[in-house]
Amino acid sequence: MKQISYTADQISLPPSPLHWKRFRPHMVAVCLLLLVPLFIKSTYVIDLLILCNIYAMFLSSWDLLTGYTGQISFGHSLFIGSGAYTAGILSFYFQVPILITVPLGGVVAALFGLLLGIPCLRLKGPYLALATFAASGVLAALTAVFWEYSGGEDGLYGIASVSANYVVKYYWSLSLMIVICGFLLFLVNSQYGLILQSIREDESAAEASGINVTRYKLITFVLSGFLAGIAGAFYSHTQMHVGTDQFSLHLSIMVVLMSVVGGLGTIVGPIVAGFLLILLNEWLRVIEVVRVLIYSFSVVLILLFIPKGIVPTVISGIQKGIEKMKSPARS
Amino acid sequence: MLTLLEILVYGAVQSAVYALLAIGFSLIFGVAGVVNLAHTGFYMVGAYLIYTFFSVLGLNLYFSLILAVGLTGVLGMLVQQFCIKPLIKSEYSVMIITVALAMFFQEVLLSTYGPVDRNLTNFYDATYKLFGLVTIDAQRLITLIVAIILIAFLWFFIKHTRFGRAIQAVAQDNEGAIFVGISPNRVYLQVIFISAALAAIAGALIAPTLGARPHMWEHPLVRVFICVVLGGLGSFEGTILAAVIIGYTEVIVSFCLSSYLGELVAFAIILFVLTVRPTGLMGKRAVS
Amino acid sequence: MKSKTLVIGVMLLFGFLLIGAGAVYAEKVIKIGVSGPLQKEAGIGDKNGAELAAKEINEAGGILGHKVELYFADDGARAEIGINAVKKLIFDDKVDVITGGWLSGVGLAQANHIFDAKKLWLNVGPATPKLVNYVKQDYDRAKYFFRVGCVNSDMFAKDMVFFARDFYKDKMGLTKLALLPESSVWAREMARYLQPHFAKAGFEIAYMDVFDPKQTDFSPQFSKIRRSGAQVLFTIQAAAPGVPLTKQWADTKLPVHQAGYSLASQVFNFWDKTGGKCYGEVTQLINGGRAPITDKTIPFYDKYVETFDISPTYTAFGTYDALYLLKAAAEKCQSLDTDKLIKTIEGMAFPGTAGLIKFNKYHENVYGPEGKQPVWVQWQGPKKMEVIYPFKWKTADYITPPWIK
Repeated sequence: MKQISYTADQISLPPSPLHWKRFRPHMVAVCLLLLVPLFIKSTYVIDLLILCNIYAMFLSSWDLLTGYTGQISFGHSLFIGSGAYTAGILSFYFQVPILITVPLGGVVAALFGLLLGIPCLRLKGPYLALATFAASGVLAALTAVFWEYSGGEDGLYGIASVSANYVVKYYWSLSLMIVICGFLLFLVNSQYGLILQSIREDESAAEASGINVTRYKLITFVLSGFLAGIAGAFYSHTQMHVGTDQFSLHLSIMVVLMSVVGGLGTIVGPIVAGFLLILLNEWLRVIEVVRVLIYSFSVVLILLFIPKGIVPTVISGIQKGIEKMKSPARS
Repeated sequence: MLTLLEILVYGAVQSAVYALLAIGFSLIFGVAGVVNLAHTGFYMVGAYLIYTFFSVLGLNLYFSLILAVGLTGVLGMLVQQFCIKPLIKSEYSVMIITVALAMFFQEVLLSTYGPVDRNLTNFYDATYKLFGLVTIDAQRLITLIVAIILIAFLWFFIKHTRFGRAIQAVAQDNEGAIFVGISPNRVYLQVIFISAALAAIAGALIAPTLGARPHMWEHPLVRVFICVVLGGLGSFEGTILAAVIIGYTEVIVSFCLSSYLGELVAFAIILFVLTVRPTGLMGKRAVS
Repeated sequence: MKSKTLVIGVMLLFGFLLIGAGAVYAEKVIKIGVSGPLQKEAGIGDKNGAELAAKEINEAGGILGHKVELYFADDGARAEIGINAVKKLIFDDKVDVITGGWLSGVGLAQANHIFDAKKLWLNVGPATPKLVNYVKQDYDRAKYFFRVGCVNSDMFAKDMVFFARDFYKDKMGLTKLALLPESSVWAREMARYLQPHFAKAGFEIAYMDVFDPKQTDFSPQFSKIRRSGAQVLFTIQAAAPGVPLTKQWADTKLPVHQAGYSLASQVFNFWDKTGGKCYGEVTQLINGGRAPITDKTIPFYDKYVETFDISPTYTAFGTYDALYLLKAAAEKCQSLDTDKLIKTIEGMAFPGTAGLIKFNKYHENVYGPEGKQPVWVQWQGPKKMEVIYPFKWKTADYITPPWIK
């Protein structure tokens, strides 16, 4: 059977959705990540990789909503922040253990997903972007209004730590990342993923072919929220702090930026870009003075030359290379 | 009574500022479908340029203005031609690249001028009492008057001149415009020149009150985005209406509650409006 | 064959000698990390103060023969970046001591990470009383923290009340105040402390409002202040840029005296930033100013101005003192061991540039004539911040802003 693969801006039709061979590169990557602490002893680098794992969860949960379902969200920090603050408040005031705060963080964020999803059903494009951003803005403003409970812009500090040992923290973050991103990959390669993409491409056609668009959109909002909320809650436990930064527009924009650079609608693309950009950002600290300059310039260059995003371009490049090797006679 | 008058006047000033900033953004979206998030970057560049010419080099005020505004307009054209045009097929990419550009401008200005606030001298130093009751300083009064004149002028220009009609043509039907001999690309360049120039004028007018700093593009961008989307993309009148609503909301909340609640109320209003009218207050263009 | 062995042998010997020599000459170094908002005035002060002290100390032989090496990390005035900054200092640069700081929120967030790493923390910027709670609740975990750079905000609120009473009330007969704190948590907490204390001192608070640091238009507040009959406006701002408020105060000729704690106003360049419109504004310097607070104050101030062409912020006094405090403590206990240093610092009474550095049992600098005391200055010209209070250190008479009758 001929293998048909499309690049990310078209509908991806997996020939046999969950055939394990397709995930060979993913499994290799996971193995490498599992082995990292054996070779790298620098706490600093481990800490950086923990951050990469957490951002991988932020970005992939966003990609589900925006890349696959076409719901442009500029308010992902709403989900991240509600998860983070749930964990923070429960831990700070009530000393609730982490194993409970993290799932609860996901649940609260999922609720916000539902609340946000309903008014957003009729919105598209920049209107949707604005509404999602306004929603996260409302919560950010509320932390200032209820500053006595939320800690205002100082936030809540002294939140229970995942572990004092960075290697242990790393494995927790990695396990969580594998579970969440693995689940997302499974999801988007299934029937559900196909439905989401058809909604993205043409909502009315999808509706006409019998898909309950409203139901799927809402489910996606809730799911995206749930996963991002878990990641957000976990994040506050690694930082031992939660603050208005977790509701900020800046965070939402970073999510958008990293995902677009990586390639929308691929799940893997945002994860790869997340790792690369976070490491790039730290590596550039050496030249602190012009760091943001080079960073923003790099993003500009990437977009100009690789507009589809890193991962889709690399994949299609590899495929073209393989085809060329297979049939050199045809010119 | 005094409070009412004050709200009226201060609200007008605030609305005028937002409208002046938002109009250019709305224009380029309406015409080219481009969400140019570097728009407030132009506002910042304009402010710094006029600071350089007027406050540092001591050139004549009008000359400095023309130079600053003109240069910013040219910058806009360069951005359009080399950064936006290649990516015009993807909405997200345009948004990201323009935001990255704004950060880039910020860093360039940061390296050149440093992080410290720069003081722009007021065009004119005086204090007035409007209607004998409402205190207002000259710079803000000038801002209000200039903004109203410019907006009126632009409205007339778009509706009643040939050039304006060319802009409308491209906005309504890109391909149709080509058929009647209008070059969309040329129109985009002209429109972004106007858009960036307007942003620069806003920068020159407002910056004396606030000071110029490399991060000054961030906060207004949010406001501008709100005004344009809330008003309905592609609607000139909608943008102005939204600017008035947001401007007055802030002032009224400041007077009646507390100033720092302004954002909260504004966001709540946005969510409400979008739920009720999914294409904004006066949006005509259906976004696919 | 034999000559080859000989050559290799000689090379190896040479190599060993070089390595041996290197080991002998390896410099003894003490690494000090400075975390602060390096793009803002307060952070620039953190950096400059530390650099000046490090240079002087190294020229005099270092700390117990160890050369002082400084490592900087920008905390971006945000908790999240601040956490990453201290992580970089601790794990990447491997510093021995941490100093610097500005915003309370950032300090509170960084604390846990610094305690986990068991590093001596000579904290300079944050004024929130909450930081001390760490020491109160768990001394063994939090003993690494010392508030060197200023007193806590309750203390300088107390000082604000004394100033208002001694100056505006007793000398000028003004009793109606307007209070305008920014919306930061520490500013609001300070305002909360101030309200009953102002009342007890005989003042009436005719108007109070909280403003967002990003606010640019003060017309609504100013119009209410006008109508309230307030005579003196006390602001409390650190994150807010200070420039719009001051410019509008002058531009609209608001008929109130302006005083308060405004970080932006503490620095020389505020005059340029406001185009001279800060003329007549009074600001509280909570950790050092050009007054003979101790013998070291004015020499340090002048040297700093000469070196950096800007006046030192309270954080600059702080990091400068922190480094010298470290040196004095190390010399006293003849060790660089963290626990020994902590015990030594607890018992010291060290004359710094901003006052006597002496700690109470919660590792906070004592306030008052026995410790630190703020200085009140008024802008009277470019680079002219004249001391007006405490009276014993006065350098000029108070000027009433020209548009106020």
